Amino acid sequence: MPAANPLPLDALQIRDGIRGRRFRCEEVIAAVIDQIDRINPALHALIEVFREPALERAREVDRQIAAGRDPGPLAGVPFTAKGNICTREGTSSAASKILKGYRAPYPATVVDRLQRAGAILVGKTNMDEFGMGSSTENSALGPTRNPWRTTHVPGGSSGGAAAAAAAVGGMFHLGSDTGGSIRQPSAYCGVTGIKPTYGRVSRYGLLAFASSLDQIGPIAQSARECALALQHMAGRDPMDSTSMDLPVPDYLAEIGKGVEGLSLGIPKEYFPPAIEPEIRDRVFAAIDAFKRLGVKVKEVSLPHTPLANPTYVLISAAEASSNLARYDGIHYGYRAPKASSLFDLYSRSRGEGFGPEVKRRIMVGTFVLSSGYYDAFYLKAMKVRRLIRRDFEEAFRQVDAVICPTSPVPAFPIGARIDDPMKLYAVDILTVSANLASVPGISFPCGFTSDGLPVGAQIYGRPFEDDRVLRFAHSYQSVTDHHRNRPPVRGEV
Amino acid sequence: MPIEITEKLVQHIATLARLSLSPEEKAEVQGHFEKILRYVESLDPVDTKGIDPSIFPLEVCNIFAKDESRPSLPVGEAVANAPARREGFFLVPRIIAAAPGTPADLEED
Repeated sequence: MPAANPLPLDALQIRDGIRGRRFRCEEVIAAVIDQIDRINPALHALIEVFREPALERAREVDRQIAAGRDPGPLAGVPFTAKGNICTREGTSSAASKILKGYRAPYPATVVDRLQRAGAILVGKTNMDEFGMGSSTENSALGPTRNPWRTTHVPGGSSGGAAAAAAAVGGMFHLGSDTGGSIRQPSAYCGVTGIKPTYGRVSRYGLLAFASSLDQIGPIAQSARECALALQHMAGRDPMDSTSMDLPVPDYLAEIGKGVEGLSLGIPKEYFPPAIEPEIRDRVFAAIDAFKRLGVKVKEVSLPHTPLANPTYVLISAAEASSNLARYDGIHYGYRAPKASSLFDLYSRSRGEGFGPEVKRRIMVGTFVLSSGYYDAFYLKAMKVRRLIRRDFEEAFRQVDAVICPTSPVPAFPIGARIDDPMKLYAVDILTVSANLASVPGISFPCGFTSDGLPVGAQIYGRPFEDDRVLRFAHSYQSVTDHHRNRPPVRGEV
Repeated sequence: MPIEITEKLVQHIATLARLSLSPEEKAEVQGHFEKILRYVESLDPVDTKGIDPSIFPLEVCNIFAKDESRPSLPVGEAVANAPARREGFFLVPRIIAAAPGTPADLEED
């Protein structure tokens, strides 16, 4: 057996290498977990690592291959799940004290599908509690650090997943995205992440934050690894009535078709003065690269864009306050001791179990849904959401996709924004529209600031054209090397 | 119509949300509500007359499941995460006063 080192390879090469017997699955999984153990003390990207169960599954894959049986289309490919995605292994706490130690009685559909396809779950990643945050500082387990600069945040809420994607190769990471939580950390960590169209991937087994906005998606170093993962995640699930019964394209075949003749819109509202000039420059350099690939570029308008974040703040809080009502100190999780009444048990369990940002959003959501305020805030926001969706419908009559920055700023220092929630919400202004309009969005690296921090570009496509946004990102990555940059913390592997 | 965020309103919302908040937290939430209201003011002037609220993200009609029984989670597994349970039941604080002569109170495990 040749002693090839699998780690510099990507997830597809890992899969092919295991199938082609160039290395054993057990070697791959051991190497990946060794690498996680090396980087995790500095980054705190993973909150649980399943070394023995993962190695056992890897040996099973090796036995199947040795016996000439088909180990599955993703056999041996390692992956992680965000802390809010239910798994048979370990706990599924959404990084909240209120769910400390929670062991899911069933796995999320996406996890089950990936494992049935042969992929191997190696751990759970850190996040902002219940997905509420843009920096992974709101974790009850402590913050994750950016692999490019460990004094800085990795973005959030899927910050653990994005940091791990940058620091460990040859695998993919499941994140969730309610207002940018896959794409913004992908931008901050210099990796690729896609929020699929709402309804493309089952949410069964995802601990709900805002049910009309939440979607699970993959984060990896490249678009083609995201395509590989999405292939085995997408599709109708009877357990989630919002998952759509539409054919799942062959994503890897689709992304190889090139982008010549396709059109990209530049929405002028997505380049407001709040965008740092260097970020604007990097995204325009990416637009030039697309022009060289034969893409037709034109300016388009999404006029309701400035209203997107206020709309998101109201709708996401309203849905969160309703979804998080289930954490009651009775069914699971944290229970306040010595409660004097049922009311006392509910309010103290919740008051002691939730972190500050989660409490803030439950309060805002309860307020905007309460009698006397519903029409002025929640109903108004849902009407504006309709206008935002119409903007995209109109733009997509003129162009196949639109391109913009993922975040107005690069990764910021830990502690810089956490004391002012409004400052933290402001970094979401370019990502929330994808969730409000239910369109797919991908973030991919397009260079660095002069200060050495990664910059992400973002492409939005028509609903259920996830293959096309992947195709744009993959075509770009076929002619550029930004996605091949590796942070120093990764070391020589 | 400007909305005044009073301590009383914050307490009312905290009661509705079943959240016990410390006095410091209540003060912080009060300030936060004011900031949020200012932040979402930009929605006020938008003309939304005749606009259908976007209640659901996809334009789909009802999806029905067959009305038939299927295997479900065994009771033991369903209550396994409960912080207080007995014999397959969730334990809660007593909500009805004990009548004289009833057996000893059910205490939490």
